[in-house]
Amino acid sequence: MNSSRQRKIAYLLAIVVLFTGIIGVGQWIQWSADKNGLAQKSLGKVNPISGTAQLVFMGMRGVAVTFLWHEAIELKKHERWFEIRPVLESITLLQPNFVNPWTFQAWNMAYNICAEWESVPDKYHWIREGIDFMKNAVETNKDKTDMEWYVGWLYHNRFGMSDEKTFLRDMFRNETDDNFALAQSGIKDNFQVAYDWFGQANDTIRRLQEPPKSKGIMPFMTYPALAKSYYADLMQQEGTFGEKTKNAWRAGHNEWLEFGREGGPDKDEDLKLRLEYSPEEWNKLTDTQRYWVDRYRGVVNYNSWKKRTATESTDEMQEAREAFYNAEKDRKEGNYKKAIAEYEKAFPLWRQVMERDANMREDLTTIEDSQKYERNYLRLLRLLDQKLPATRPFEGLFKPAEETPIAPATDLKRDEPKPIEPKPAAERAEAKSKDAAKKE
Amino acid sequence: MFAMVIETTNPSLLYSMPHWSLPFWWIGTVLILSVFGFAGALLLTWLKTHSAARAFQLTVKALFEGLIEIVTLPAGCSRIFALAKLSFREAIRRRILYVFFLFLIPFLFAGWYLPNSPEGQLRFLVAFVNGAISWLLIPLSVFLVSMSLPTDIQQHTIYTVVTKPVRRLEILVGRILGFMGIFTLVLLIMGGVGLIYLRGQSDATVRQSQWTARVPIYATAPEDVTTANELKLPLMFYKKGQLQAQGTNVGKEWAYRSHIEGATSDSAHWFFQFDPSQFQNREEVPVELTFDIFKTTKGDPTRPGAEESGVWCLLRFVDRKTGETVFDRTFRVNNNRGNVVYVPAKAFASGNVEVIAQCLTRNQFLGMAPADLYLLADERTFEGNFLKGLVTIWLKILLLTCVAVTASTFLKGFVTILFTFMVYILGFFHDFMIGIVTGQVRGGGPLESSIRLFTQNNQVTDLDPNFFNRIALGVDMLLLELMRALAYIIPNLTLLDTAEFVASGFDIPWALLLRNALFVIGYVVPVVIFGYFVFKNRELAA
Repeated sequence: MNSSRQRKIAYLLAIVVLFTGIIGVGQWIQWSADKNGLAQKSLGKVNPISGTAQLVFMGMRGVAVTFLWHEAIELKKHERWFEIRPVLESITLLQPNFVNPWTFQAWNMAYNICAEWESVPDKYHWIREGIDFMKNAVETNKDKTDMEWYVGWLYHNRFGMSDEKTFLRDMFRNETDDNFALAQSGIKDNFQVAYDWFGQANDTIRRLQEPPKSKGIMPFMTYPALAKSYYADLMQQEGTFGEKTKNAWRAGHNEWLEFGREGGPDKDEDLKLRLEYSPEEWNKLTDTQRYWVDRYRGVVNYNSWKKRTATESTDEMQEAREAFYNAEKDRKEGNYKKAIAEYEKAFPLWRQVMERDANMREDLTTIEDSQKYERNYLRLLRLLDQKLPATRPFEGLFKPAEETPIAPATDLKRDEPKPIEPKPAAERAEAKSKDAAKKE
Repeated sequence: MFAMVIETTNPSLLYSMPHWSLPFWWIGTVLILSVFGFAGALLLTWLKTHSAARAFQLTVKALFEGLIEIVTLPAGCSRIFALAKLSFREAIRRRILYVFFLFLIPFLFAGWYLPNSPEGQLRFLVAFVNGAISWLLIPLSVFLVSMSLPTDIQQHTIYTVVTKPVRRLEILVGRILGFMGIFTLVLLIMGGVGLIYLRGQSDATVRQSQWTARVPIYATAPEDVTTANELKLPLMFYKKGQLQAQGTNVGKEWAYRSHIEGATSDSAHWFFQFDPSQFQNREEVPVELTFDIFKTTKGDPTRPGAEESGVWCLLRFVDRKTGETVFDRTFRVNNNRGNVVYVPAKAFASGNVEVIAQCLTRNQFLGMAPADLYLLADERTFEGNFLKGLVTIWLKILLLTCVAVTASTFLKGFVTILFTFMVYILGFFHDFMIGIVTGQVRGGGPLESSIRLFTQNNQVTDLDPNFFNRIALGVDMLLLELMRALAYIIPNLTLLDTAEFVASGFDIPWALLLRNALFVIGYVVPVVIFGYFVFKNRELAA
């Protein structure tokens, strides 16, 4: 046998040994990745596009992402909004399981870019872009509670709490894409959809027995109840009263109770993070346990919400709310006499509820609302030169509001253009030189 | 309507020097470089012959022979054509046409990455098609051209040509023409496929509104009006009782637009001077504008009509010959949305018009830049514009082909490839290089920035003045001087880019194409002549 053939055989053997070794190592890596939940398929939906993109860049993935990130910032600086989304898609295709770019850019679209637009349909579009982006994130990343929560938060906060919420919620109700707007409850409402997402996040927490990363577990888990309560609250603000609203408040109340009874997982088995106990159970608790339960109730404002949701669903409260709503509406529309009548109908009902319920009396929002109603009522009386009542409607209940002068009704004409005659530049320059000549 | 923004206005604005002086600059530069070239050649010959007088005699002789050959080049046109045909065939023999299959691959997968919103779609598609063409064709041309001459020399096939009665310059020029012929053919076919693809992939709504090439008339600086500090500008702002170059700064990071305050006497003035005969047969002329709004108060968003809110703008057209207002219009401006105002053509009868914009809404601002308002003189076809855009790629290929042919007269094939790619890549970082040399880009030279990188030092503070750092800074000074020299030799390829015009739906001005062509030819001619002198004096039998 000559040396060349020997060498070839040696090479072949080396190849076989190395390849077998590599396959073994590869199998082992795959197995341990599966075991620790780090393999792509256990992280979330496997995306072939993402896979190809990552393969094409091989080791240069980090460099490519850095360039893309820089480009996204430049595009934002140059206000080229529509070109940002494809760049972001590319970033997340390259790094599908890196949480921060997803949440950062979803926030960027739903809040910052949205704020750069003026009309409500444009704002709506950008909030939706942010939410869709975040939904992709959830799809790509399995069991990331904070991401699921964030989708819910965008629905909850952007549509339900911004200054333009009246219009945004209206557009939301008329949304044709059911995938986006229809909640599991069958209602097209942003808070209902948010409730679904918050619930999903909580389910994940209970299933994995792992706390969320973005905030404390107790505030985190109150969000389904919050979404339901805000849903009822917004219905009132938008002028829906009666059985439907009462039911919404009851649903909110039940959510709070359920949250209180079930609690969340905690490493400390003694505690379980429960907030709701029957008297017998309460008696059995140790002082330390009572201390913590009270403390957590304070953190999430549990008692106040529980009480408020219960009170709001009563008949008197609904009637009072409706009367106040009508009064404010009439006042804004200039039907002052009607408004006064509505106020006078609402005050005794409201007083009745407040006197019975100490908890509501201490609620800051309730205090502010009450003061506002009272002030507006008294102003109307003064405006129409009517006799003021001997005592304030809420005498002994709430302090009077501080008087700050505000316009009595919305002045619709305020924004109309008032043209000023501009002059051509040359004329101006001439006038200026004349002025200068005069001075001399 | 989508926002219509393109950040460049007149191609002439890109040069700070007056137009008439440019040829002199070019001739001066070429002359200086020639002197250097001559000195270099002299030095080399001197080293070879060991006699200064003999070396001078030889170099001057070679120079004169070369000049005669250059001047009489057109006489050898039939030979050049034959040589060009040879290169054309060579390229085909090397299966260059197979590149089409490669070209089609990205098109199969592009749909995966397509944005779904119609607003950014065409921009993305144009960028993609242009990118696919250049990323395939440019490396291909560099590889093919760089390997061609060195392979011929190595395999001695060049003898079959040099032994014929052809001149060396004809060999180079013929080669360039032949390759450019095949590249042009490939480019046209790729462009055609790309265009069909663009048409097929874009939404109907996109084609309705963006499938066009607007020919704008931009404002130009007037002769008789200046700002308070005597600047002549196409857009001036009236503020604090005088005309100024800038309006109010509202603190945006992007200082492209300047703002005017609402319900005050502040105003923005554009000056238009144009040939009025082009509007003679038209009833009205569209004036397109894209303003920015900056609000200091949001107002009550629940008031009636608030969902349509915006800022009111008054636009007035003043005939500058008569001083009369010929047209005015009040309308609402929304952020990132374009507006169109249709103005009767007779308002432009004098060809000298001032457009005055004022913001009418109190406490709000309107922002504008010179290119934000223009008269829409004409609309051409998107297809034609797209073809014009291909010229840019063609010019880049021409430049690289010439660089590669020249480099391959004295470098080995692979080195030529590396060299040409270096020129290409550095060409895109031209502004960055100049920025570093002039200190506009922070962070210092290569050593200084490495030190900052490894010691995690920021870019602003001075380096610790220790011994090591001082040496590094000293070496950096040398390296930066080298970079400065390099920056003046490397062509600035970012100047050539016209894809932005096509993607934004603006017609590429012929002046811009002409400038680009002159830029490339001005670069290529001395490069090829340099290559010729090297090639002429090279011993091919080595």
